[in-house]
Amino acid sequence: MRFTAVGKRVPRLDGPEKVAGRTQFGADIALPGMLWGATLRSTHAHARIVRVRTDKATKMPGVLAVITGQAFPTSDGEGVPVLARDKVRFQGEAVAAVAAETEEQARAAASAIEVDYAPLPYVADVREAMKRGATRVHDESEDPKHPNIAGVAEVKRGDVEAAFAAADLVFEDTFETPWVHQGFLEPHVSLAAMDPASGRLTVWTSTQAQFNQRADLANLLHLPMSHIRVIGLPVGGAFGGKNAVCVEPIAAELARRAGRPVKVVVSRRDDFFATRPCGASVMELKTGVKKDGTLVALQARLLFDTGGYPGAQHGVGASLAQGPYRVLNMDVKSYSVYTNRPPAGARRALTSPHVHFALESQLDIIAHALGIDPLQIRLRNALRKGDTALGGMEMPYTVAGKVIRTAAEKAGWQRRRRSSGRGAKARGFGLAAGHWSVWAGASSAWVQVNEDGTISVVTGAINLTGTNTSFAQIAAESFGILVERVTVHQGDTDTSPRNDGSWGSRVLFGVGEAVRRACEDAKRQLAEGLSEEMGVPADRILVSEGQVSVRGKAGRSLTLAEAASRAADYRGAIIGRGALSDLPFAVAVAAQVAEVEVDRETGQVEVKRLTCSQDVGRAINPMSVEGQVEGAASQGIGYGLCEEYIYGTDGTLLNDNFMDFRMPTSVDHPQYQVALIEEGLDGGPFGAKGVGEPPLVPTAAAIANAVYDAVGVRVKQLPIKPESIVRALSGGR
Amino acid sequence: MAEPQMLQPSTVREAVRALAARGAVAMAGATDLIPAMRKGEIRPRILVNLKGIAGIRGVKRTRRGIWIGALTRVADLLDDPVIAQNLPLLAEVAAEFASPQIRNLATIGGNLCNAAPSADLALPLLVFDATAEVRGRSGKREIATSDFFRGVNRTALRRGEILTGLLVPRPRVRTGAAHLKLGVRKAMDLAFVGIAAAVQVSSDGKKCRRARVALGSVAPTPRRAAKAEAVLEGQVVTSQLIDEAAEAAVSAARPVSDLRASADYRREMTRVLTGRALREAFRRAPQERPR
Repeated sequence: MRFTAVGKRVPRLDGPEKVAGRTQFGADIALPGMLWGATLRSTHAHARIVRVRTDKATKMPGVLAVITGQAFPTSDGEGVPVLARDKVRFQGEAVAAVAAETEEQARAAASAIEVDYAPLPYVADVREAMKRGATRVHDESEDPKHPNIAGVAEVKRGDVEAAFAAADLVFEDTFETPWVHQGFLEPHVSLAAMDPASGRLTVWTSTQAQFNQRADLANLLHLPMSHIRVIGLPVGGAFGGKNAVCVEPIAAELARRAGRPVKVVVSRRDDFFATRPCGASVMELKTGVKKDGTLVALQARLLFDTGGYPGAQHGVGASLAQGPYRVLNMDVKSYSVYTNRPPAGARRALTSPHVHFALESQLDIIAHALGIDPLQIRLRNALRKGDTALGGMEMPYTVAGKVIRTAAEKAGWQRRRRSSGRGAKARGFGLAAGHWSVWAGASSAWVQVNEDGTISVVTGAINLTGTNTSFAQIAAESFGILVERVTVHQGDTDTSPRNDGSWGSRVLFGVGEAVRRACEDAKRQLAEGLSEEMGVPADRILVSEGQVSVRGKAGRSLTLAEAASRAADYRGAIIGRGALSDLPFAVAVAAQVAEVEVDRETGQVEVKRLTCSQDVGRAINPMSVEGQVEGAASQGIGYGLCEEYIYGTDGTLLNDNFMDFRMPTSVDHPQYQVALIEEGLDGGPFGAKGVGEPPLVPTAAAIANAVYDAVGVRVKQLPIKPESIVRALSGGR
Repeated sequence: MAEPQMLQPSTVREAVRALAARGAVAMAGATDLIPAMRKGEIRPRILVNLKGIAGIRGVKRTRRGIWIGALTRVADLLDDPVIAQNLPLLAEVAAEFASPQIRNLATIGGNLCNAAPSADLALPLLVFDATAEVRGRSGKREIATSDFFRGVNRTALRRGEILTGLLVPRPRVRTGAAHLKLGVRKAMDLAFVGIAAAVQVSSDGKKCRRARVALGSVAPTPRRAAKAEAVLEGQVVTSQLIDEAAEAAVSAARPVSDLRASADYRREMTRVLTGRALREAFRRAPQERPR
């Protein structure tokens, strides 16, 4: 198939305004008469709230509203209270909030609220939390032996016992990953206003999911959904951290009580320690193999730290446990475990980077023990068409092996030269793969053909990664016009069709397909509208290359503009509709080769080159896809080498800022090489599937494997710290 | 918190008078001061903005050496011809200092007076035996940079005194110098170990005449490693001698364990980096070639 707009490298449509600093983010907007909101947050990791006294704060200058946990009898959609009610379960949990004339007044009043706490012992580690007699994070827990289990998922397949008995070798290893911030630069922010006449609430917010916000706000505020309008603003980074409600209900409730608009801007510190970062994990793997490297059995116990409130980690983690490999006998138990940490949120490919760090590191251990090339062991076991994958689904195509082989070939795997002989610096190569599944969810779009022949696309999907640009390409392709002739509008909950959130790599896959179907619908309407005038049945009218013509009759064609204005005379506006929730899961496989240099004396690891391959179905905008791959891989470098929450013994987060929580800077990045594999088409628009999350999945493991290749040190705990490499090399502990 | 009063002296004399008041804090680039105020670590009543003072900015050659005004911005050190010719190490350190945005504001005087254990610019000044020029109500005095730092964020400055400049003796012939630091990432990071070394070799290039080693981030203040210097001075330079000096440097380290690194790792890296910095300094020391 030859494309005219799809597959072209189109710069992001919203790029120029962002580069010029003209984009209005949440912190930039203001309303007349606007108040500022501020929150009081728990200083304890775990404590009973004995009493909250707000009388002093209420009388402070400029204060118009003060709220406590009683303002919100219900918890949000994920089970997290907006303001703590009887108990605080993590340090930083919001306890009360204030609206005042100025930000300073609001902060001063918030800190004047007096809370009497009765401190409780706290539990901060999943292994501790799983022990019998562990401190209970939730009193009402039903399982007396394991009171802190928030959720369990199991995957059982084949006969694990028999398979271990028949295995030539069995490997047991434990891996750990830390708490990390998603790394978005724009802190949570929200502005709410309630119209006193209509009682309608409008909320402007930096969110990934405006329709979910609307549903949650209706619940939390006990308002009819029709009384709430959520306007999703341009988002300054999210990566899963802005899936759920955060300060939106606080701003809304304060606005309702004060009778004036209220803006809440979360401070950097609060954003770090009190929102929903990515949780830690401990993963115990027991794997049985044949001497030739064939995986025969996997037993795993995965513990995901979900913090003080429930999360979805266990289910996703269990489904990913086999990696992109064929494993016939499996027994995986996966738990979300409560601790006195912040509620764990999502981050790019929820739990997949955790699980694959463990799996892919262990696969390397196995390869080295058996004397098999790490590439060969992966190719031998790679999922093929018809294999059972992802906790039960059948693999629809054979692509994993090709993705892995491509990364290796492009990185020069066969010619690689390890140099660990002379000097302090040793070079090594590490290979890792990973998979992720993409669920399109509920997706919808409207497409209008305007009377000048341009196309307007309206969706309710938040544009995080340049998906609007890809929508323009899809519409341009459908009508055979230039991308410049398409405008894409991100509507709000009042002005656009409902959409699930911008998560799970689903937007281009699902909403992109909705856009394509809406275009087809609009084309059908055009044909029907012109059928009488053109004197032919609608099915003989063809819309392509910006023309409306009659099949088989050259010369009788109209321009899209002529056609649109005439069809509108007969039928009214031509508005195509695309709405779906019928796409199957798409599986995406990514593989990466990290080339690192390790300083044997200092333990410093530098990633020199990172080669990434991925099956993307179809790259609608290769420039954008490559950007996603490089961006995700760079996040993986941070996850692998430097990012972690460091807590003090009293449960205080010590590095609650970007100076001390270190993400790689521009000069810390290697040279990236990206290979996009356009196979495994999956029902998305023109065969496209989700691309944003999979490339974070293999990176940390690829780096860990490269470190081993360079200096023979196996690091099983992220981040890989220079200090632990030096210690291991000097033989100490 | 009350807003501090802002004073804008235009002479050193006015600044000194303003700083005598209780709660008065001197401000230059403010790249350390503003974050500390935001965190509530410092609550000044009066901010004395030194940036309007004429005559204590820029780099000059003087009879006693190179003079660097306290208000000279870190960015200015990068491309100053006098620095490039006489103290290239200072330009090297400046080039690795924080980020371009911070270098455009931060001053050399501010970096020293903030007296962080990790103060980058302290190390080259220590190995070049620089002197701090100080003015107070009772006049001028000079303090050796090795006596200037008294503790974390503490200097030898008395109330009402300001640092006006640094006097750096022109490095002697056949001197080589080097600086190395380790951080978690390559930019925008505080080093957890920083080492500078300067060595002067004999005319045949074989012996070490003079050695200076300075350590950063491994003690409450940037400091010299006198024992390491003593190991080297007067000796024929061998790889083994450098290893001994590196080992001796560790005894000057008083590291703490913190977010960035453990004390043990800092000690070990003091040894490794001192060895590397010394080797590089000897390599750079110009040798007089036999005719």
